[in-house]
Amino acid sequence: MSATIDLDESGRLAHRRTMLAMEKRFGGGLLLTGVWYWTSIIFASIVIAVLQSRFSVLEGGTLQYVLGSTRWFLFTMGMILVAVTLPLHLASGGTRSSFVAGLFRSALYVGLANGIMAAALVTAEGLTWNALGWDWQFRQGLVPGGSFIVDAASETLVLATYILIGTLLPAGFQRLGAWGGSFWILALLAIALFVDWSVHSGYIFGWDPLVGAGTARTLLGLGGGVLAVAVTAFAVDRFYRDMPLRPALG
Amino acid sequence: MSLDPFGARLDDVAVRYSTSWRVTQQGTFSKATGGIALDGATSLFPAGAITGLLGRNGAGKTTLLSLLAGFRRPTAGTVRVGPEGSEQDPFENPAIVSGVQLVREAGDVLTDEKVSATLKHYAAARPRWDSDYADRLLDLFELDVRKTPSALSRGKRSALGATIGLAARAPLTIFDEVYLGMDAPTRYAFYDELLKDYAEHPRTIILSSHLVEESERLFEHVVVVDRGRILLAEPADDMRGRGTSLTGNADAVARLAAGHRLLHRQELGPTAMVTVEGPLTDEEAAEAADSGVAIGSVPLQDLFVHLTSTTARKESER
Repeated sequence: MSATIDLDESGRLAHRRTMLAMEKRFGGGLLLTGVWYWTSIIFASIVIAVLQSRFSVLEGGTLQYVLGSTRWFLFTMGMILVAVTLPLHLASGGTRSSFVAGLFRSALYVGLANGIMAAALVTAEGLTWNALGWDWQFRQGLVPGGSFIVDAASETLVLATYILIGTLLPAGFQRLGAWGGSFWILALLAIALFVDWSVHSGYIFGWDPLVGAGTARTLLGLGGGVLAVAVTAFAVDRFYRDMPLRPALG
Repeated sequence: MSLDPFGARLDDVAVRYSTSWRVTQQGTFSKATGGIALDGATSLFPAGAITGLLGRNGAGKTTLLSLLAGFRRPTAGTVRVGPEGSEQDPFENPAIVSGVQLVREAGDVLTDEKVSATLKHYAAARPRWDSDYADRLLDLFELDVRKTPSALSRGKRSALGATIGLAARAPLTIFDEVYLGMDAPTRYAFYDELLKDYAEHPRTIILSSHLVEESERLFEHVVVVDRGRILLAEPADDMRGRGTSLTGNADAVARLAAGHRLLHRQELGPTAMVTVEGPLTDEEAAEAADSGVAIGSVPLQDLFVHLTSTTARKESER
């Protein structure tokens, strides 16, 4: 009986400990590479701005042309890191359940950190452009002219969705085979398009034909983003919860 | 928190792989073909003992160990792991898998980050991780924590696996061919350290090895897997007593071996040496002495070779 009680207690502690270790590894890895990524993005934005001003072809800011790469960067990193992290996580005494929990939490806080960074850069760019007397505009986003909080929330939802989609791509091939995995990419692409469309974070048109700018559109857009995160999180749970780790036959 | 050593039990376990795709650590896809790895395997791994898991390449050892660590589910049958009397299914069971440390041949390390990063991860995830002991082992195996595992030699990578396995102090510690690439002094240092730490921190250890001759001194229990089935699972001393060698005149040896299962036979002119299963009776021993046939014991490695050799299999099927 005492062994059973000890096991129950150690099970609860083990779940939390391995989830946090997974979060540190996966989320920490994404944040660390994010530092390099954002350094490159800021450098690229400044170079583009300088070149545009030299040749007088400034067209309302540079960030809107480079921010779209963030999601694909995190998508790729998610795809690569998940392949490395799952065997390590299981070998260090974790379960798939704590892996999925760590993955989901990482996607949210990495999305949030990058979302805040993106919104802060957009705000900073707007202030700089106005101070220099240059024409500045940001065509994306749910709020015309931009809103730090809404932009940060939108980017967070988009980036969290893309990170989770990245982790789902290899899982699709492993669980559904070559053909199934190929069709699975189309399903993932549909979710990616939906979240872009919903929060109007890319070039795909948002809610404008259905709802005019205002609180309702903002809430609908963010609600769509939350739905995309929820759907991908559900898929991550289904695909990874009983994922076998296959050894070489031996 | 300390837990009693874990035991493990498999009942009629089968594992069949289907063809699948997987992503490698390099981010590329590779196709894995299907096959039967285990077929009706039933065995016991006693708690608080060192068990040697023996089997030829492709016998199903790695798959069996993956089941114990909850890396996968069996296709059929049941797997139970845990303290004696509280064994549970390890799959997705945090209480059980957090007490099982499987060190695979593949390593399960961060190949492109410094060794210290891998050790930090295990320290964060493993409840009984002993950092001081890990440092001592790194010194013993002369491992540079500033290098990446991909920059280490095969032997040093194996030593890193051995360090992880020992420093984790898991109630069930499993080494799957952990010696690969290690030179003889490092292997013997590992065996000595394993025994020393096992005595100071009792736990269950399963050692899968092809180097039977040099590791058999560690075994208290032996499980032999052959073509997905458990050929035998018993105390090592019982297994050592399983084989008897008879050397002498070919006709006399043949007469004595007649009532026994023949495991191996070698002839050189009029002299024959055979290995038979089980001990001789007193009458047979007396007859052997009369006819000048020498009776000997069979080393564990030879017995393992004879039991799992294709020839022995064909002869027993005859």
